[in-house]
Amino acid sequence: MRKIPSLLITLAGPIGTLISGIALVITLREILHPPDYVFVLLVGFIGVLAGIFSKYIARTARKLQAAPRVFISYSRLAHAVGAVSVTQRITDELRRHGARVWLDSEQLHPGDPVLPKIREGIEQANALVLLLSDQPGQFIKTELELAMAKGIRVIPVLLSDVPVPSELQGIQYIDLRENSEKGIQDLVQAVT
Amino acid sequence: MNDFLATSVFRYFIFPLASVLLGIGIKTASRNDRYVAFRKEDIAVGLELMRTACLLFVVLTTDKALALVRLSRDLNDSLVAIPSPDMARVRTLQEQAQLLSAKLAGAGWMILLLFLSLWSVSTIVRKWGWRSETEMAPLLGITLPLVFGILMLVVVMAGASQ
Repeated sequence: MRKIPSLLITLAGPIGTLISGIALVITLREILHPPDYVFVLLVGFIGVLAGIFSKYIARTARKLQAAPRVFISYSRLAHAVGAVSVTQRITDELRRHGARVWLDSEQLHPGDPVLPKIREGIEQANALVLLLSDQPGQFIKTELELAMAKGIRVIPVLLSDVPVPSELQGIQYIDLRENSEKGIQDLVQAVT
Repeated sequence: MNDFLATSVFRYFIFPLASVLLGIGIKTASRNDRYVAFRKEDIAVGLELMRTACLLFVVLTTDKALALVRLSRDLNDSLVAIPSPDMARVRTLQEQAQLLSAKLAGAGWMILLLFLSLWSVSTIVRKWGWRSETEMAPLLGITLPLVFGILMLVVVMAGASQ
């Protein structure tokens, strides 16, 4: 018996929508003259198409917009022992969705001043993706400080069981430990 | 220009379409710079359109009510005119007052209908319009409110032009 009120509350929305939808159509039929229906139907049809194909419209609009720029921050030590494939997968997936990715292995060449180049990369970025696979080293801390000082969005990504740095305690992270596919998709969605 | 603004094409096609596009544009332009990309949720401006239609109708109804008050006053002045009332003017004013009264008679129900639509569609969006915490469902989250928003704007526009 207790379920009846909650069922009524749940159904109130659809019932109300149905009633009001019918009433709106009846009102329109009374108010409008026959040729005007065509315009209303046309604009309503455009609304339906825009809603149903909103995903594709957004994707096309994103392509027309300036591409998001992402700075990838990761531990070189972890990179050396196996996180390389994850970093590459993330980079590839982000690029596939139109993002411009800054990766030190591609951007830093022998003889380049490291810190100024990193600073430049972070300053031009819309987001910093921080791949956490071990205790953050000095470079990661510096990159994090630079990004936070510039107000750039930081997205922590957990690759292994490692404590999240205290500076990132209040920021929602993406977990790649159990389901890396979903995690990467979440990251792509968050960034692009 | 004024003629064009009074046409059905403008009232029932360009105006609602422009309202949708303007809503999407404002949503995109006011987005936090840190989240640069356009998302499908930016197209979800239906509830904003519905709210605008509701408030617009309330304002238009108030205008009509005030016009009716003015008409009644003019009618009263005409009836007590000395030496004798101008019957032609009285008749005109009376017809106008009847017309406005007829329009206002259904306004209460219309306000109820518009706010019922707004509430029920909002409820559907809240319960079934979200796929995840940040992603909306295309059909119940975006399309349904958009179609209702367009319909409500057209109803209000049509009512205002009568």
